Amino acid sequence: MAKVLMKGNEAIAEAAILAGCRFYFGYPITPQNEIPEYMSRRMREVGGTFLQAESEVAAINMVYGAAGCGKRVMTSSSSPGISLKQEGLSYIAGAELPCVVVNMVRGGPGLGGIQPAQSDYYQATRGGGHGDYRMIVYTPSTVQEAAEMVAKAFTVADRYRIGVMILGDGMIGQIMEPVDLEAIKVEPENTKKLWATTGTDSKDGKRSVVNSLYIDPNELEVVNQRLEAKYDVIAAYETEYEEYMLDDADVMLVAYGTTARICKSAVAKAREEGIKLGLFRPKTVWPFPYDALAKAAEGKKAVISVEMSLGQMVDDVRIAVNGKCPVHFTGRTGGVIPTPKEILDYVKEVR
Amino acid sequence: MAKRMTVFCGNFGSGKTELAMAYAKQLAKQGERVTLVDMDFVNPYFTSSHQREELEGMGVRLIGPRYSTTGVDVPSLSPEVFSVFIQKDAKVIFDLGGDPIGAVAMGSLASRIEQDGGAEMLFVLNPYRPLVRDTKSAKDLLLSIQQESHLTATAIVNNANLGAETQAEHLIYGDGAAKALADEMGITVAYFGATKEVLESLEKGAVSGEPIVVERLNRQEWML
Repeated sequence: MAKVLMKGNEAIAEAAILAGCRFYFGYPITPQNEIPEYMSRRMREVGGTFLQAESEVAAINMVYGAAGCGKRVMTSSSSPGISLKQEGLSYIAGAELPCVVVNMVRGGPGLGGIQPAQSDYYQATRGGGHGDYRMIVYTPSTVQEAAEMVAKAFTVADRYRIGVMILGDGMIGQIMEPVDLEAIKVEPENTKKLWATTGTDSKDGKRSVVNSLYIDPNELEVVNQRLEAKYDVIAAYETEYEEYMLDDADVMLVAYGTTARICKSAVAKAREEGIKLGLFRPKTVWPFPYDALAKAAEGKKAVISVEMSLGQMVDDVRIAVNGKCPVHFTGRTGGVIPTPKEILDYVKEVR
Repeated sequence: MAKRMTVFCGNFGSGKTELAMAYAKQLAKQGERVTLVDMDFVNPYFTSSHQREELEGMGVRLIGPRYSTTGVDVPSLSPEVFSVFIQKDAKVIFDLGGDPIGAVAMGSLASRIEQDGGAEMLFVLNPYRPLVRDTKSAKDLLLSIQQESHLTATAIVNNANLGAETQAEHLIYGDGAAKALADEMGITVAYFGATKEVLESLEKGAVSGEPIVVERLNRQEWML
């Protein structure tokens, strides 16, 4: 049986298991509860550890601990819970620990609501915690892609010793679609992780230290410069995007995740009416595909950022386009999902 | 089907809600008075309450969880549920929440259902979903649903599907899985669920049971 029918949350959990994740720490919150629920069953079957922590803060620090020991580890939550994890994520960035964090975004601010949203874009891409740091942020648009990105996230996290976020939205978590789990590429875990705190036996009596505290400002500046150099390498090698029907397009939509799918429907509708519409879809929002977007925007009459927020990614779109053509924004927020018709109506308004 | 009450149960994502809505509409078309009781107050996104207008337009009375579609994450049944035991001339369809956990709420109504003459309880099986991939797991799930709901399954519904990618072959595979489970439980495969397109591509007699024509009401145009 090649394909199965899975919710995004289930597929993400199974993909993590396939990628060798054997530690999961979390705390329940809608709309991502199927991840811990699935993990609570599967981790036992594969000899891993599932632990429902007493809070999100506890869970992310357990991630710090397991990652510090060199183990593949994941946590997941939704917006308010991800806010709680920010201190831990900053420490993880400072200590350069690989881990995977899933955010099934829901409407905010505050407790907000439980319906899907994309209003955590700033938090995910600018570093929600303190300090000069970044996380790699993947934005899946289908259940299949979510599973594939999770598997990849573990490899990339190990490669760069960095926290990787899967930035979904409630719909990606809840929607059910056919998934081919056999198609998921899992690279063998071949990094030696000599930095991990695994005792002194394999290191000629020397021990590793996992730490983010540097009292001497000169020393801390060097650490930050090293991190910055690493982020530059990631931006050069790990940026991903998709171009959809852009070759002859005179108006370009920019959207990620669930919104990108709705935009694809809008593109199809537009083409039926003879409107040359296309879509640029970032698959990583940090690193953001600035250069590719700038190139794609060349000669367009208009570029429109479409989001389930009141306009966050549009800032990056403006940075990329850099005044070469008009940049517009349309979107719905608070858990409201835009329709293809609403998007197309906006296209007609600005073109 | 002699009994006036029908219960759809199964694991979450097995297709209970779409089947229950389709079955309710099917009965309403035959001129029956139909009440659909949505007992799934856990699912935050895909519920029959989203189709209230469509269902009521067909003459189906819908009793939904108190806060469904409001986005309030508070599981609570409406007291209106008890009206179905008073209005004796209507067919009643219960759409349970997923898994044994979703069946718990049904347990509180089981004695009322018994007094009413019992219910047909249909276990919805989609063998392409996780947790019910083999007969043993499906049977374990069914037994725990029975335990929590205090009701006994009377038949299986073969709802084998891969969403938009569903073909006749999937239903034929599902027929085998449903029969294996039915044999284990000493019951039959009474229905199969299929969209109109899949049903048309299916040779007559290829799978057992009566068809319930599913419309996938809760899909949006941009979904797969």
